Amino acid sequence: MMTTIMTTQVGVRDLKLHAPRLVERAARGESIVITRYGKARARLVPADDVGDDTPTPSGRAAEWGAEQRAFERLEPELTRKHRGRFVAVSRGKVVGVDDDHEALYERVWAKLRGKTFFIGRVGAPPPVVEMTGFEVE
Amino acid sequence: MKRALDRGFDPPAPMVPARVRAPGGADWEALSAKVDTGADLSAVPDRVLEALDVAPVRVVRAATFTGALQEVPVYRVDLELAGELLPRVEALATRRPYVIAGRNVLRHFVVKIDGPREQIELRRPT
Repeated sequence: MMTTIMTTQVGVRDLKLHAPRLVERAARGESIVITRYGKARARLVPADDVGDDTPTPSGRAAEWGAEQRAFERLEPELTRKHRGRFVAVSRGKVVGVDDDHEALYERVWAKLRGKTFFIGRVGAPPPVVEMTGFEVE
Repeated sequence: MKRALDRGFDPPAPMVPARVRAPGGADWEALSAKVDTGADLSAVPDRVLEALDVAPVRVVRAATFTGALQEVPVYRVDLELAGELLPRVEALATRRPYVIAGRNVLRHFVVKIDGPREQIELRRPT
């Protein structure tokens, strides 16, 4: 079955005057093309057509995400044994525990060289670092 | 190593040459780094981290200049700053096109910024 999408052209002046109504029409599936000096310059489309612009992690970043989720799954059990300590997880299993995340990283990196792993502190929120020159990105 | 402050920023900024690679990797990316004594950690352009396929290791909450906290991943990279290699240093991802050299790497250097002469000196302690 072929779907026909209705397209309407409106000038910037009409957009200013009728923005709420045009947004509603676009939300219902109509394609509203905004023109300026007679030329098409922009388009209003339903939000569902825009999609999620959050980048999907790929490669090693995706692997790391899986390790982070494994840590979260293991955390209730880890809390009993290692509350407040840093735990490293790789391939869904605990591969190291330490009170110092730097020492733990170096040990696990030397052992797993090249493999992806996650380090988290059991039963504690992530530490705060001051990045005073940074805006939220 | 003494360098002129970069007048591409207003006021002129302390920029030094830097290179980044994945820990123990072979491919380097050459960049500039802004010396930032107010940053606890360093930061590397996100496009470089992606190109080098570097994985994060842990998560921190970054306190930005507004005081807002944001959970962000922390990566490990080999960073060469002013010709000195610092292996496996922690870095956040930034959308800026240059490296931020924070105190986690500056702690290994003597840093002198001469505002009136518009110069920065960055060297390892003797």
